[in-house]
Amino acid sequence: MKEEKMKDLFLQSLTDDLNPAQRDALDTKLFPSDGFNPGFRERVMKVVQGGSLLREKSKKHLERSLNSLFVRVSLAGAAAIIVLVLSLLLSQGSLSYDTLLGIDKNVDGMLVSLATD
Amino acid sequence: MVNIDYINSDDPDLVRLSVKGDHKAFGEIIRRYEYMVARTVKGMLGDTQQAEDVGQEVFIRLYRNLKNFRGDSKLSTYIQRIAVNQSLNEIRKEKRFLSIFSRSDDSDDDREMNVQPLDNEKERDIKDYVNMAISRLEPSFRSVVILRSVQGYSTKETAEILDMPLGTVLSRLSRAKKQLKEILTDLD
Repeated sequence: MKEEKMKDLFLQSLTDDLNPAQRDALDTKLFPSDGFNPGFRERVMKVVQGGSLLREKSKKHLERSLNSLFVRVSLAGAAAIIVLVLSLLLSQGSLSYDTLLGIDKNVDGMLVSLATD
Repeated sequence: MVNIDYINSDDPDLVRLSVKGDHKAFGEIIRRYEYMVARTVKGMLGDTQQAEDVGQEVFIRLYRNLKNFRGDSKLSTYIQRIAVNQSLNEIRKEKRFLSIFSRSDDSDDDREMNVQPLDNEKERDIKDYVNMAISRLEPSFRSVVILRSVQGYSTKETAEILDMPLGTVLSRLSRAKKQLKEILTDLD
């Protein structure tokens, strides 16, 4: 097909539906399918596989970190509670509710005297 | 272990397998649509390394978004939409970059971005003329021309891929045709 006709066919393809022979001529002469450079699929797959592997790794890493953080926080919390109870026991001599809540037996009287002064 | 015939599997099956993490299934999707994507991004950006990078980005985005693909449209339509949008984004990015590093009167417009100059007169043929003419169109016109003339989609399919009304596509095609006629006459 002559170049001028190809040009007309291209312009015609914008607004009209081409028949299969015309479409084939356009594909062959004007828009041949070259694809990308060799190894394109492998390069994309490398990124895709690397990305999902990385996500899996970071997910596992996050789970491990959270578990380890939970153990540390819970141990430290338990140790702090034991130290607090022991210090109360030593300083107050007993472990009543008032002692645990930090309420002194003389508090009520003190508050009354403060209010009346 | 079940042997899966990826080559004869249909698109929804490949999508389902890919979402489950079957990389071979996704490899088959790339094999099926590599040429289609290449035509679109090369049509939009020219036969450049930039087009190759955008092509890769199209499939990477597709992989990341496969779980959101509901199958309302064909997979090819979905991929085409990503390819066009990625190409338009790349053109916008380059336009912004050029506008920063050039004076306003230098940046006439983005019509000839990424166009390989035709140095050798003898090498010029109708294919080069037509591709150069397409590259001189505004990006929004270029996308309808690529889908309609290069990929051979109907106007209705083109509208579906670009997610725009049919009337807009018809109007853009008509205006693009007029512009292309002028450009091709100038190039003669």
